[in-house]
Amino acid sequence: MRLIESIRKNNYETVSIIGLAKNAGKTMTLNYLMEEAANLNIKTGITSTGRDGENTDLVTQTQKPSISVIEGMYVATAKKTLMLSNAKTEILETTGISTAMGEVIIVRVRQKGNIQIAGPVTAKDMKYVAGRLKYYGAEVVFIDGAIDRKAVSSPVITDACVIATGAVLSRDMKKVLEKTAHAVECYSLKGTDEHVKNIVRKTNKTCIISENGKVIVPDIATSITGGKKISELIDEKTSHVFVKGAVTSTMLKELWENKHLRGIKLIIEDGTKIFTDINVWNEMRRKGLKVEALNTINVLAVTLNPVSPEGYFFDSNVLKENMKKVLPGIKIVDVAWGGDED
Amino acid sequence: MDNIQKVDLTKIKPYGDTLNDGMVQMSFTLPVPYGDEASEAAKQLAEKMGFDDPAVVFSKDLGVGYTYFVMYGKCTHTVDYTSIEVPKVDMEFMEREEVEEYISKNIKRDVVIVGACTGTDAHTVGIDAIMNMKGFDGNYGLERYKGINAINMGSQVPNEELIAKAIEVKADAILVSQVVTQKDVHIANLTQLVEMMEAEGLRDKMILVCGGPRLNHELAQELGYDAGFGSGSYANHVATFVVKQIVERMS
Repeated sequence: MRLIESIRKNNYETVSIIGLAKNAGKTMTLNYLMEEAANLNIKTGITSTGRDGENTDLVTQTQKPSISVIEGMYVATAKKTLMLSNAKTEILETTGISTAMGEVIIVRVRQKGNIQIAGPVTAKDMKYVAGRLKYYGAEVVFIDGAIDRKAVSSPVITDACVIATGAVLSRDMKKVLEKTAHAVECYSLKGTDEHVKNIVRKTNKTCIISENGKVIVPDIATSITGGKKISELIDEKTSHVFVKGAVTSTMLKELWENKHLRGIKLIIEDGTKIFTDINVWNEMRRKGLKVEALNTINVLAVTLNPVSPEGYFFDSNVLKENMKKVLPGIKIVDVAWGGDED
Repeated sequence: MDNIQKVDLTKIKPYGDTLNDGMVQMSFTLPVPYGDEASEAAKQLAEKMGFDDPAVVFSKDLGVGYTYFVMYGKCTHTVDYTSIEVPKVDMEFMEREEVEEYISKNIKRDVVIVGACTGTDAHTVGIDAIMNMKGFDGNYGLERYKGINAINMGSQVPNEELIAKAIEVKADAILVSQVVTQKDVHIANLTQLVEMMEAEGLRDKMILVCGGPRLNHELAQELGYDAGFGSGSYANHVATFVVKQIVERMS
């Protein structure tokens, strides 16, 4: 089944595109998905966290592909970027959300052309804008997560995500594979049991849950620095530990000092909350750390861009084959070479 | 005097001895041993960069097979100055006394601001210029402001510690300074801070401001910050932005 078909079949209304680095091929992925959607006459809406579709990159000054839109699409973008676009559009709403490029405006495309998008930068505003795009008639909303912002892929905002990765991550293909595998692992954490979810949702704070259902809420301002206190409260009766907010290396190490942690499950909000160092994470997972998520993220596919703007590239087929080995069961699309799907 | 050449702002290029001669002086190092071949390599490279008549005016053996060059060349490109638009923090900046008065009139409590130079960056010059009592270039820093509780955490502060501190002191605003920009490490640092703030559910509860010589308001907003301040910014600029934002968000 093609990517766009599985989006429709699962009724995913908001899909985010997350790049693991700048120039990992997000815009190519977005163009690819929009083209596929257009072929099936699916009405799409697009927006971006931060600016995208400009000709040169603001940070690396490299050439970037532009975003091409056709009649009937819905776009949420800032006023100034809209004026730089050559697609003809009709204004539907001014949202009052401000960005460096002016207020975010929702438009319908009347005549095809290229467009730049600079949408809202906070997760909260993004949720609102995605809702408005759907309200006007977009069947699927694509959110382009500019730079390497990942908060937008949080399940609170989007139903599913596509991860864009590529040669730009490292000159060493092994590192590209490792970083991509880590990201996919974090994003595809399995959901925890319903009864635990209910307890956690009711408490809505970092808490320690015992086998008999007893819940202890530690007196901490944030889990980031609360590792020691949480660790002190874990005993042999503990079955789950829920950590609200960011999960950092320091915190994981502090938790790990409690030997009971090996037998229990660590519950986190979702995969976008993991900020640990890859090595720390992998070592703990190897030693038996069990992690589950309160809200799961649907990773639809991983897209590859085998070319780095720094001037080196990988053999597209070799990269794809290796990626398949480290990510069994995940759909892999090489968007740079025409997007053949298996 | 009438025949003095006027500057055409739609086609500006570097000035050396005469208008529009395009003269550029540049310096760089090549990983090749000192000698005539090295100078030739530097010349060819400058040609590839698009310079006319490149000339090596100075070269020095750096040892271990490296050579340093100073070169002249004529730039062949022009820029349309009239079409340039740089987004800036667009507001009337208040002076220190005005900020203090504004706080006591409109906010009626102390404003808490936590600042740090994050990641591996050890350059406190930026954050100190804005926060330290003595300030910079005749402009006192935030520590001197009545009504502002400024906490400067110094340099090499991990993002998680900065956030933890901000939560502990119930900060109204976080200032983050990034001076080192090699391999775009500042982008990774700044992005991680925003992501962590989103993860902690704090992003829309605190004002997030970044600053540094390679930062500007446009990039800051793209990264998800409320404002960005580049070179030539002083404490009163940052203070004005923060206090106005607090009042805006109160309504």
